[in-house]
Amino acid sequence: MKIKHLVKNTCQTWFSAGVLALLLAFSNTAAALERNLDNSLPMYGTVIWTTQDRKEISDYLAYVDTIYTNRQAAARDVNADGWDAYIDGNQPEAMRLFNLSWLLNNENMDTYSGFVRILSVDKKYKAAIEVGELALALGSKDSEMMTGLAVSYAYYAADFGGIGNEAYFARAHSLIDLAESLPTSCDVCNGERFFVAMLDQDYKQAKSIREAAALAGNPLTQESIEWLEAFLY
Amino acid sequence: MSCTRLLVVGFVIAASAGCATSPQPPQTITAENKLLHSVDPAFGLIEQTDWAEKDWKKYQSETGHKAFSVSVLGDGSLYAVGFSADMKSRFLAIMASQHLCKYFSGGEGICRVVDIESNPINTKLTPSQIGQAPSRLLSHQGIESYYEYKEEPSPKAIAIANPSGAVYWVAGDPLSMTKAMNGCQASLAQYDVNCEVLENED
Repeated sequence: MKIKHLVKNTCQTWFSAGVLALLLAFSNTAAALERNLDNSLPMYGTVIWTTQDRKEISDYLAYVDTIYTNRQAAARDVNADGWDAYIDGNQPEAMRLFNLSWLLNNENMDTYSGFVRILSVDKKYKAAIEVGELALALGSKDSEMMTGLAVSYAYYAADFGGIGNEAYFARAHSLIDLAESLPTSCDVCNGERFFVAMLDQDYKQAKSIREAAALAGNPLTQESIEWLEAFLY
Repeated sequence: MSCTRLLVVGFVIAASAGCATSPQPPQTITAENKLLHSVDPAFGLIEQTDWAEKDWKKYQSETGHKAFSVSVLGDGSLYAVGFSADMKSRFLAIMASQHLCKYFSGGEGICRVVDIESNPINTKLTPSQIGQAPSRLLSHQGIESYYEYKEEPSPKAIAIANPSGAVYWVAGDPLSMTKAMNGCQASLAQYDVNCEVLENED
């Protein structure tokens, strides 16, 4: 029993080095599953599975079960590969991996953070907000997801000139408050709060944030400062 | 003698349109919802909006895993609501309420969950029965109906509506499958897309 446990742990370490993604890329089960699904959308953009989808999802899960002792661990590794793909600028691959991960464990909040990030970078702000709100309801405590959601709200509101969208800006501010209230430190909070204030055309607040950040020894980027100055002077 | 059971609704729904002002939180704030309510003024609008309050009261009377979503417009007013109840998990309750809110808002505003509750359910089902039932059955009512169906003699068939998971079964009739599908189609909720045969025993 002890030996078996050890072997499984070793396998997991080995697979977590990105090999699972390689297997998923070339596996028949993942390929068959994805043939009819839309990988440009989070959670495949559907709440309806066809009979064929269900069969292929089941085959895919059975395949992963032959590699991993539990699906939560597999989802974590697929997410790690999803983030690597995102950092490499390969967003379609990142979305594909987060989608596969979501099938493995639909309560892994990191997966929703991945969806929010990709959608937001792709300027699909409303879709990013919908997934982010879902993640919040499911219990996400990821401050970066919250600030990403806040910025998506601000962009979405600003897309319409900001007029009549005060509630969305207010939601953006309250989400940053929420991110700051979490026990984990929020390194991006100040910068994102500044961003939201700028999009809200509240330059006075943006200036205060810039000054407070400088006083705290954590100044905003030069780019942010120049952005603000372009409006102030 | 043939036996049929009407569609057992998986989601419990509500929707309407309107606007509201003066946020003021309703009385019931559970520990689970403290965070959601404390950061969300939209929750306070429910009680100020007749149609939303009506649905909120209906929601409060429901049991099991449940969630309440509201669609909020840019000016902060409510546009639509959607809620789920009696779901077999918290996750499903949240997904269903968001789905329904999105459906009823028709893309207007942005839906967010403002209340989640997990209350004891009034069911004879054992945890193992719930676990062993087909995963596509989402509500306790649906699962109960499924086990009633299982006790019936063949020929029989049970159809399920997507995505609500509502079921309709017919037993003791040589045309059970056709009748179950027809019954399911006829009872399809407006937010459902189609019916499928869940099980069929000729």
